[in-house]
Amino acid sequence: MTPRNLFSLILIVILCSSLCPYGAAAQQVVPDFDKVVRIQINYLDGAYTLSSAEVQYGRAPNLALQSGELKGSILDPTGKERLSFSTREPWRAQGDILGDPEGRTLIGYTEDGDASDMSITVPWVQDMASFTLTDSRNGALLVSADLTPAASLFCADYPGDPDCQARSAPSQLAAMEPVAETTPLPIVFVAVFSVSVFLAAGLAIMTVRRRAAATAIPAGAAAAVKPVKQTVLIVDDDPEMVEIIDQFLTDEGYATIRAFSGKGCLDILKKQLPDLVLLDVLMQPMNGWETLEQIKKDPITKPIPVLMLTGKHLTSAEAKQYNICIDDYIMKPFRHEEIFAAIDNILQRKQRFRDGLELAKKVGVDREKFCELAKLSRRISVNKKIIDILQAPAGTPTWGPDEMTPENKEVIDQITRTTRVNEQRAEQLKTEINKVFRSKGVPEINW
Amino acid sequence: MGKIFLVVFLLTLAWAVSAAEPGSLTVVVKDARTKAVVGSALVYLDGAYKGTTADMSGAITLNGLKDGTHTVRVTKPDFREVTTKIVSPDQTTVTLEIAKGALVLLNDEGEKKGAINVVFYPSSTSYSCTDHAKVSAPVYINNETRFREDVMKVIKSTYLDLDKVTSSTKPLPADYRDRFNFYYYYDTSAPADAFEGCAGTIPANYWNEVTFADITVILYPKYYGAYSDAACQPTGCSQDYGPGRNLMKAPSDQLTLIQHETGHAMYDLVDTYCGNTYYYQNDPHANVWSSRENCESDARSHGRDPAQCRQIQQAATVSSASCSQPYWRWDPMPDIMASGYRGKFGEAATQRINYVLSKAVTS
Repeated sequence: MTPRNLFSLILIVILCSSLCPYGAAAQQVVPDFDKVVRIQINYLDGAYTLSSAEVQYGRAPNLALQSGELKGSILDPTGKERLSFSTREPWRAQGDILGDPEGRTLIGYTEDGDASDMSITVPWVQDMASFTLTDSRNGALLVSADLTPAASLFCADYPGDPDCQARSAPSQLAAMEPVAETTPLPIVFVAVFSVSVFLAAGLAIMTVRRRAAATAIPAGAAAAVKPVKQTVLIVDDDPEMVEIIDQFLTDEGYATIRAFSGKGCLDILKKQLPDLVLLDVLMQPMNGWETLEQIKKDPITKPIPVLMLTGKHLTSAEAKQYNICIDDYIMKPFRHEEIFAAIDNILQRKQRFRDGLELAKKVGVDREKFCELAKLSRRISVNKKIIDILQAPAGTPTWGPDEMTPENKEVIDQITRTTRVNEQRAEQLKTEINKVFRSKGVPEINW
Repeated sequence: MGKIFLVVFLLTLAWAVSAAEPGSLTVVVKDARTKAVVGSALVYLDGAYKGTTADMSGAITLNGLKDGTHTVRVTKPDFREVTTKIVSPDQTTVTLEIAKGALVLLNDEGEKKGAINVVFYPSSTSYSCTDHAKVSAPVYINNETRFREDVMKVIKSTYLDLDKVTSSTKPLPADYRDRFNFYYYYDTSAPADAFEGCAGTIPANYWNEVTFADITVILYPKYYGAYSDAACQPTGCSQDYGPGRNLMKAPSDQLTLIQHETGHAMYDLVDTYCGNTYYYQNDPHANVWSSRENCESDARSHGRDPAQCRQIQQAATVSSASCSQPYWRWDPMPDIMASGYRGKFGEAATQRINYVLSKAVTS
């Protein structure tokens, strides 16, 4: 064999070994570069707020399967949509309790759902620049995120990732080749190996797709904008009553919106979301309870607190049906201070929950745990008020137990039982949360 | 000609020797539990794939590192990937320990791309409706075999038996069973709590590790006590926190309820019983409509009898008040979306199931 032939043979052998360096086992090696973008969003009382956006190595879920009222989009730098999908509102927990096999076999279970975390996982899109979440029903932008910082941060850690290389300027990395330690090869082999790689470079096609993990970073800004003044929507079919309430709420620094019917109220809510609705019960043709049902049925308006206002006694049936929908119930005639106290109470409760949630987040308290406590706290407060009303309707002497109607008694018993269970759970949660708060030197929850 | 090859060879040799001089890094990969070396692990430097570790030594040497901080990532099928930072030239070796992953694939024939990924997760809690209290249910955490058996039973009797509980007039795709990837996740140190929140709660590490789940099912063994009042926690529940975080829970001994919850979580079907639940018209291919007209129109356009549209309502019973909702349904009773113990998915629900399955295109 001539030196030339010998060299050719060596070259062929080495070329092959460079392309298939570890024999049969190596054929199964498929580098994995799949990446996902994870966008964390907080939902509270109808407002969506961006928590973080990050890129990490991992596979994405099957977006085609998703359905729901919200639309997520990944946009390129020109604002062109590169990927979109549907998703559901995060507060919608659909629970079922198994009932009697021969009767009502399923009993519905819904939660207030005024707070929830949302976590959106989508595949890496090469020229992604931003993310938007919109309401498909009215096109309203709920939250947006700048994805550029997340991608940049990721690519700072993984500049050699093929997608990062394609996304930015050519990599500055020097060419580096692996040498398996178990095969300590003579330098001649290394040289020949290098030649093979050198020669093979023109032939080899490195079309591998990559994935890599990055640390989380906050990105973008919250979409929710807080109004300077708290806005109250006053709904009553008596224009004089609306005028009176409007006057003293305006004097106290609230912004007001007026509606003179249930339908008028719902029409306004399609265009504007107040911080609170003051709703009269006795209206025609759509009464306050029917209006309340519509408000709570629409996921956009569901989180708005509703304060019922009426001259009519709350019945046990109404209490049973609507206790989880209302935030307070005020009997006419009322004093201005009563309305202010009730409104302040509701809005301050909302603010307390927001502030507490922020603190909880900072000290590492589980968000769901905190939100559960907030919901229970609200329910307990409302239910106690309802029990008071049912036990002693305004303008009547306090009823003794035997003067109470059986219906009222049954509803009171039921709400009392629920409240007791809720109180036990709330106390347990409060103890757990305050333990963490104490250990971090944060003021404890006292509501 | 031979001289030319010789020159090329010598030049290359010189280049190779000089190339070996800049910073080098030996990456050694070990098993976190046994501390044994791990071969065939994939090693990436700064995101670029560099090769696999040798089977005998669990090592690979990378040459030519520039001075400064670099990111080393190691992956291996069935192991949790690890990433670390090193500083060159100060560090010339780094040992990374990788641990067996907790995710177990149940498909005999391997993962199918584009399929619906269903991951089961064991709960260490159950609930007693009689006592209104969460109760400990350690059986799945103490016994992986039992959990696996229950998961397999659920898969076979629900997901893979779907043709038996759907309408034969709208048959499922013949290969519908191939449109799923089934897994379970088993980490005894991080059980789910089926009764923390409506649909349960899973420790955060799972979500960081399993990014691709289309549905995660928290399974618990049994719900105790008969329904007594509304303070009882739900037996089953589904809640969608966004793509990749779609959660449902159910007891493994209630197969119809699992079908019902899967109806919500996977197929976006709406309850057809009357009660305190969430109603909406789940277009396209709805099984609940917001008006009689919509129900009838949909029935006509899909060859169903519009006269079968009826309002979601229920007469009063000894123990409960009457109920009426401004929504309409078409599927006949017994309907799985109305019952927790028996029934089938009717023609309307089956149409929606087919619609979702059609979006799972496997390859």
